[in-house]
Amino acid sequence: MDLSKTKLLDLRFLIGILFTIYGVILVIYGAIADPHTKALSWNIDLWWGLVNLIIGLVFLWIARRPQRLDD
Amino acid sequence: MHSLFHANFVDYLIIVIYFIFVIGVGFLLKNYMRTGEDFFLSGRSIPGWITGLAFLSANLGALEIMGMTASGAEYGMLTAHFYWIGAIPAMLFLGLYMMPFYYVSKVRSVPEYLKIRYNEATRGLNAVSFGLMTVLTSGISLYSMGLIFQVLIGWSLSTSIMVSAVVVLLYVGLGGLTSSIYNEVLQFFLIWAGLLPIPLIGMHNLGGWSGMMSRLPSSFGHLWSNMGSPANNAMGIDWLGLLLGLGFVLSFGYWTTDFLVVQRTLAARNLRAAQNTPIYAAFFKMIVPILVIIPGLIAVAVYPHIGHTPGMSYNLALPLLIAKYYPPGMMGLGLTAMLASFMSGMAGNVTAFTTVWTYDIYQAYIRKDASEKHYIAVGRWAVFLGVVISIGTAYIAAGFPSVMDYMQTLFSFFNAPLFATFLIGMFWKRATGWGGFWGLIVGIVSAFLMYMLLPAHLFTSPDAGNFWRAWWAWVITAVVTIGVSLMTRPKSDEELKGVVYGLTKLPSYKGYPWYKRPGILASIAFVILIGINIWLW
Repeated sequence: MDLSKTKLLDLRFLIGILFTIYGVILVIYGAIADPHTKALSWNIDLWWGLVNLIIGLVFLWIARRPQRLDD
Repeated sequence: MHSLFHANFVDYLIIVIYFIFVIGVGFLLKNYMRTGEDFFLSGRSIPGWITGLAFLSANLGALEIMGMTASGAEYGMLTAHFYWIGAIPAMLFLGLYMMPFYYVSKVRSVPEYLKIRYNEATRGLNAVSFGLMTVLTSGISLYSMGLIFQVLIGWSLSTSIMVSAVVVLLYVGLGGLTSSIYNEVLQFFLIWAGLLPIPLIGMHNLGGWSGMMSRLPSSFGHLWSNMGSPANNAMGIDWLGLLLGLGFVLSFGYWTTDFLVVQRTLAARNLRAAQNTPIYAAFFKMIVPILVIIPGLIAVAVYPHIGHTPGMSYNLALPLLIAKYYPPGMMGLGLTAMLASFMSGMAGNVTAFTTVWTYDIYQAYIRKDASEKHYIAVGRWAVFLGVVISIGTAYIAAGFPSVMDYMQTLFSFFNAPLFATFLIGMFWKRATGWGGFWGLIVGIVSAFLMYMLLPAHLFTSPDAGNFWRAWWAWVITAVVTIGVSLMTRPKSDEELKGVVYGLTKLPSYKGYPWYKRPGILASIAFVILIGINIWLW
């Protein structure tokens, strides 16, 4: 079974996609709804969504290179 | 039913996207499942970092996350012994010393190794007991997750059990072990994304580590300084019982012989990747207490009466913090993280059960020479069967309030003796087939008898009881295995080639850079482990 040729099944790519989607959802929701809790004065959805988005994009960027086969 | 959270559309959107995603990956992988090795062992083709994360996450179920946070709230940093002493040394030992035998002998499961090293009877005994334990634990985690979702967002028990069971069934049935491993790695990242803000926000609000500690009993910050006698610490254990029972027998028994975790190492693409699998995992395992134990401490600092007021059991430590800190959106991410961790825990059980059932029971005793296609089909039916039985055992578990502790104890009945069987089998070539069989069965039976017959007050606490019984079960297994072996005819060196220390050519990694060599990586992990223990003495 050789999955390394298929972009869609490169796990780095999959993680990148999922985190990018979650990042976008959280950022948009955070920006529109501006949600708060009593214990938290700042907009965690917006900021943590941004962190997720960056992680997602980093994984997508890493996944551009083919997987190394020796490790 | 009244629930802690009120999930809104954005939370459901995040959960639904996760479901679609994992099932989609299962469908994509389906086309690659051509041989039995593909389905049951991922064709032995997965890179080391992936198997390493899967190795760790298969064990990081929802039960573990909720349970360890609860334990952190009850006992403080003492809980970290389950991570640092109770896992890391065993993982490093598996990578350095045991992996060569598992991988080089080309076995497909733990029972199959026992067949080659000992005999058919030992394999049968292990296959049946492992299969039984696995579907039982999988049902119990299914039930616990149902319970969590009932409390958190008000789904009914049956709804959460059915939804989760169907999703696991789909993705494991389609993509086999690879699907399961992919989800475990996804889960590893999701759990950090979903839960890391809790310790960060909590510590920040409480004024950092020292601010948090100033609101807690002083023993909550120490690992060893209160372990001199059982009366001095909340767990009721002394250092010797902890080291022998948890640090040696229980931890090595679980991390080196339980097929649920060993199966992940067998999916690695070469011996070095297989050896590095548990060693990479050890580095990640070291930092998991940040996610699970620190929130327990925070919960006590924020809610000083937790565990002593109705409606605020220790088990709710994590959910209470999520409800306190997370608005809609983040809550969806936190719930998805918990759902993912639960499902990968259950999928781990199901894949391990499927492989043992197909190779060690079906192929060994029912139909020996069938086509690869046939065994994949049997595997898919076994996944279905495993999930259905899990649903059944989930409802059985629902009927027994204390079944969790009971299961933990049952689990140690099988792993503690098995570790003695393995240790002797791998490092002493004189051990014979029947020596292994009788040692294992006497060990299991005596562990069971000790549990049934010894009065509870003999031990200083339930944990201490578990640790000491595990230790003595190990000793009994070792003594019987050695005794019977000395009275029976040894196996020839030819038969034991590649299976036993001394008759196996071990690889040398001299030419590789340091970050690829198992020996050097394990040494670094060990030094960090000692550093942590001194720091939190």
